Amino acid sequence: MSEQRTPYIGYHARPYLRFAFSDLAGATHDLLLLADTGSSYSFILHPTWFDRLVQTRLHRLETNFGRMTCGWLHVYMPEMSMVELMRGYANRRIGESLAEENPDFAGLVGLPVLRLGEYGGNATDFWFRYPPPTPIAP
Amino acid sequence: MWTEQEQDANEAAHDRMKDELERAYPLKHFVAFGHGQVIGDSADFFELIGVIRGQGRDPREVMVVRIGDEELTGANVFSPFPDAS
Repeated sequence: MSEQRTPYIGYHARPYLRFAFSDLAGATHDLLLLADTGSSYSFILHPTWFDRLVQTRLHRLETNFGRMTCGWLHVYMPEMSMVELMRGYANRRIGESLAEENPDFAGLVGLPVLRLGEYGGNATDFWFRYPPPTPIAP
Repeated sequence: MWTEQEQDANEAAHDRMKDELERAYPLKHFVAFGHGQVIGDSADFFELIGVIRGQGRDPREVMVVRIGDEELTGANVFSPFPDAS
């Protein structure tokens, strides 16, 4: 099981994780993503990053932040045994809010991804472990 | 180049054909839409990318659905940013 452990950053002490994505040309891009355990979306990226990383499109979504475009993203982190096709979304208002918080934030990672493994936090750090340990048979 | 108009056509085609596609293909099968029509399918997403490219299309312009997945059309985002929503 691999672990990412990161200190909170910024004035509001935000938790974050690094996720790598493969684009259609096969190049890998490391993104700094705010870890939002309350988000029901796998990934919400700034449209600039989404357009660079999207593989193919999915249905768009109407939200209280306006329309979100949607598509398949290829998460590529073999060092964590995480190589998966996952849904990603893009919204300019959310992307710009994240960038105001920290210009290095390219988007956020939400609960559908975090709950694939184990996540947690304490006073100083946030962590994500993947893959989860094999359940012990009763 | 991806356009809202083609995406409209692809989403409408999928909505119209959803039941038919679910009868025709097994769960988790991938089906591609372009210009409001089915343009390919495969059990393997990356094989389908090759099919789309073989048609001279940029995969980023194309909509690919996975059979059995629910497609949401609307939902709220509860923002961690107090002033953003």
